[in-house]
Amino acid sequence: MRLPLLAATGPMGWLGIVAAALTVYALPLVLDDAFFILVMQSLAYLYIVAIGIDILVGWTGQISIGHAGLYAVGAYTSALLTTKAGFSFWASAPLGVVAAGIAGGLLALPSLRAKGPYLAMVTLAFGFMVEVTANRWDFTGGPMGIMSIPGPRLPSGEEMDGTEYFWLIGGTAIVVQVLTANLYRSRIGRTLFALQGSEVAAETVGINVYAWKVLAFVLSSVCAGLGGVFFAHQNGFINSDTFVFGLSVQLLTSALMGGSGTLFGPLVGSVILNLLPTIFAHLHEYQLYIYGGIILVTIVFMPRGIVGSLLQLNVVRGLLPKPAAIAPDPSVIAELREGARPTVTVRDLSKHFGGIRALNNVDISIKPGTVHGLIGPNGSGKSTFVNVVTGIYKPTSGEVEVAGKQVGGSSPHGMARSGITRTFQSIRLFGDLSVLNNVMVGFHLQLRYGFLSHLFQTAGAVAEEERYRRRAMALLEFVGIADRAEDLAQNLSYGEQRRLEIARGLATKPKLLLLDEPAAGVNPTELHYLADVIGRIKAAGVTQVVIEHHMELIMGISDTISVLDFGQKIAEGTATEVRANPKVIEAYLGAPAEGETHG
Amino acid sequence: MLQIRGLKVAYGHIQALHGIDLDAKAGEITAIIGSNGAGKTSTLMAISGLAPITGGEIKFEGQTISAIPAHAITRLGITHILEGRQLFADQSVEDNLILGGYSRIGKDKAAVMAAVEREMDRFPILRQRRKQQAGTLSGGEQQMLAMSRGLMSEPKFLLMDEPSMGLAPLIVQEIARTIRMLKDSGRAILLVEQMAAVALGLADRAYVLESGKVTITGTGAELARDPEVKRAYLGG
Amino acid sequence: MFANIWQAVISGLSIGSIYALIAQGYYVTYITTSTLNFGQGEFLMIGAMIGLTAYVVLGVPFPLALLIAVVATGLMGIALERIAIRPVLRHVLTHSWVLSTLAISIILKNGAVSLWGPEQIRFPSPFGEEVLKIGNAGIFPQELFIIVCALGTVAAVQLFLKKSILGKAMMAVAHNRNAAAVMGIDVKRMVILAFMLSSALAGLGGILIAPVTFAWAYMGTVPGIKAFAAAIFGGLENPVGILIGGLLIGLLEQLFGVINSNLKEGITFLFILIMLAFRPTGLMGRRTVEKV
Repeated sequence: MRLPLLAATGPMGWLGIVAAALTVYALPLVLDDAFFILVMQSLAYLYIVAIGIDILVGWTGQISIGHAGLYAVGAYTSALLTTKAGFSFWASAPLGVVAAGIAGGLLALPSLRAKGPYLAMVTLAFGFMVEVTANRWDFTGGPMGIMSIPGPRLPSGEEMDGTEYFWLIGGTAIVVQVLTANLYRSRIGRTLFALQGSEVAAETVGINVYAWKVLAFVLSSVCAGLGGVFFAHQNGFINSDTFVFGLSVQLLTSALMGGSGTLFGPLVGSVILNLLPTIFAHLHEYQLYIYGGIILVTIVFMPRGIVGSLLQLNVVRGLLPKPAAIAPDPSVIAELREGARPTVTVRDLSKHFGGIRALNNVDISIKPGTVHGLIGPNGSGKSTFVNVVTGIYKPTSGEVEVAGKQVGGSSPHGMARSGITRTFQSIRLFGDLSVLNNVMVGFHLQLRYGFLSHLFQTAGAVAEEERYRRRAMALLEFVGIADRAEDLAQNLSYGEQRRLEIARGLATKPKLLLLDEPAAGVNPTELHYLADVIGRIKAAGVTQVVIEHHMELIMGISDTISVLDFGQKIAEGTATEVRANPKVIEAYLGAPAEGETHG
Repeated sequence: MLQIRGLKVAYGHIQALHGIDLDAKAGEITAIIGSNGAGKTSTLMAISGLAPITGGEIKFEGQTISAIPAHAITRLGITHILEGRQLFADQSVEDNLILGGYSRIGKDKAAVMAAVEREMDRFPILRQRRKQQAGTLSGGEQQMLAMSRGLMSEPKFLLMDEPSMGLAPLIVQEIARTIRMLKDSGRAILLVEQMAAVALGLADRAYVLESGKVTITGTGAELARDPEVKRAYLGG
Repeated sequence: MFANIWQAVISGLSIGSIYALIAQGYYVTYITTSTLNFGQGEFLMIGAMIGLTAYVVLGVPFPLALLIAVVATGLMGIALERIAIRPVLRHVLTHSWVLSTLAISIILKNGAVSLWGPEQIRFPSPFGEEVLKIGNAGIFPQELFIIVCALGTVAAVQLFLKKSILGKAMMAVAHNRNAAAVMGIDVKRMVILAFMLSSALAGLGGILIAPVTFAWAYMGTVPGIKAFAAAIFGGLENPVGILIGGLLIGLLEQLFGVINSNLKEGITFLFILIMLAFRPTGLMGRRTVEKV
């Protein structure tokens, strides 16, 4: 019998949870000192906030230097509800968390399209807005803040003492960590890591990147709000001095320093950053030197953070439990053939960039179950073709039709839903995910269990994951890299990465798979393998468009070849026909130089 | 003039060149042809110091240059005209030319300005476009500017990467004429081209690269007749 | 009321031109390295403190004090590039530079407290404290000096980038590193130069603004961030946008300050949030299309 919440928890996990619970229980009893307990309380709730930052920054690849604002929303909501509306802590705390979650959702809106420094600015501006509002608004008490915020009461009606409050916060932190671990190992964590790996690739397997980013912001904000609530009721007093830029930096630092995306990084980072000031209390004047110095040294010398750097060591990796072998479920291959195998028609497709006609009135009809080659010299419009057909570019005019239904012009994840997916000329894998998980991301549109099921690890969600892991394994076997299933995708050889991209594409059950220069950078041995894989995909019944420069490959595998030059289709036919076509020869080899004929 | 022995280039996991040997002689046009991804551009980038060399040696006029950074290579008299023009698109035609002479402008500004005029004589269209942003030129004009910019440093040895790329046949002919004129003025040229007929028509000596290895060598005329070359491109 | 507005316009332009000045610094490093110094505000503070030491404590003439402050912060920019930028540029985490430059700024703040103490120190304006009457508005001569000096410097930087050969070489590195390298341009040196320039601009901003505010260890954070907002507003790669952004933010906060002092601090950030929701790469920034 297993508890749904802890379905994925092995004996080691149980041991960890019990040990953590015992530690939380024993700490204030062993070290019974009011100041120390206060420090431990702060450590515990800031750790919860750091977990939230890690979900946003370490998993999803976004950045936030304004988390103090979300933390403040939680703190002020709960403080105001208890002091002004007479709510009890138990009623106000969840509302504080909800308010922070809503604020996070709102913050996500301007953040969706902003990247790098622009995203940093959005979060920073948000943080400042909250700080200034808290400082200037009478309702939030202005600079005087809010006083006599009641602590939580026990069922007996007594207010919790410091030790009990620490137990509450520490216990909550353990629960948050367990739930986070559930997400981390599940579909949810995988999808967020995929956004970090490549937003474009995530889109092409059907992930609605914007929606998932909003989820990451909300999750992160919920954690921040929870931490803020605990802070507000800790001392019975809050004012805007707490929620400053420096706090946002500290929170970000604890996630990154510990090791972002590592599950235990936030814990390590929070412990170090929160205990440091206590340890170095007597060096008061040098505190910022130490703090700044530690940030700098870890960032420069341990770019993956403390836990991340440890995990790079083979010694440490050897200690980690080996994942159990997964029995492949080959039905996934058979199912590739299922359902309608429609003709994909590209009609009169044009794409102009400013004055440049990258693609000009191209008509191509792709017969079901065939391999359709697309060739042409550099700059002839092949890549543009793939980008338009997969929805990455909007066509200037023209249509893409699957089984007579117009699908052109929708987003890449919409195209994936219509059954069109692709691989990339410059490989776009989710580098921080395992090979197996890269394929698992490809199943995105077929998975039925959502966020809550995965958060609580319901039996259904766990079984579904298990089922699809077996199918993923079969796809890895199909492309010949099953032995690398547990390696990180970024550690594969180039040829293996190409094949992994193909396996990921196949996981979407595509009606049309576009391979964009699959042979680029692949060595001759791997090349044979690639041709073989393309042949087997064809045998499995999937329609493919292959863009390639490697002529031997493309001539060998294609049923039909279309030739593009200067954005126009100049020839179409079998390999032999195309090869003999003088237009094609001229496009490729060029007309002889004029000088040659004269001299 | 230039000797390459056992050159290997790798970008992380990707091995682009698997040990190639190549010689370019003074006063000659040496061509490297082959389909996309064969390693042509990597070869040039290794010579000019832009690609990570993992093995082998490059000697220029007897000096080993494999470890010299890109900006210093230019000062030895080698100029690389990059694939896809790579102009400074927001800067004017004139500024692009002046920057081409950057390596010697500190010593002799007048000579650089004289070279600007000379290049504008070579391609009069550049004079008309003098103050225009380089990014607004047509493809053919951009290629002319790229060539002129490369000539501004008075190189003894020119590396040219796909000068015909994306250009209409008539303009390709004009570019080819210019390359021949540059040879006649005594410069050695290492020409990378996908358009084999163009390159072989110009080349004294040519190498066919396939998957990071040299598979065929010979004079331009020999290779132009060799059916193997067409196979390297179109398979069969 | 009218006098207030007129006064707010002058103050807004003067503080706005400081933002624009610092934001030019973000611009030069961003175009050359795609990074920027999040501790730019602390370089401003160091400029002010060094200027203060030279001008007030040592009695050096103001122009010389200004020069010392600018040169000193410029040299610190070289150290910044070496310590906090170069080692993290090739990192797996693309955001490493945010924290590494913030770390430097934290250390600099502590350094300033150690050297000059935590108090706010008055920095006497070299132009005196007498209020000039223009119409019925009172204006400090220092404010006019700030506008002239800061905007003049912004123009000079742009002239340097557009007209001098060194500046053109720097822009070439920004456009296309490989092409610049094969022209014989030493890319590394140009990057160092960019950080030197960026830091020196902040240092200049510090000595200009100190007589209007105060000089102290924590003076830099807010102007540094407002300048960042200005750069983001205009689009990090667009110097004209940045100039407009700086002046607009300066004006906006001073004008809203006239209506309600509570609005003054928040308005900049509200404004920038709304703008970024619609134009995620700034008002005049390039819209980037990811190449696949």
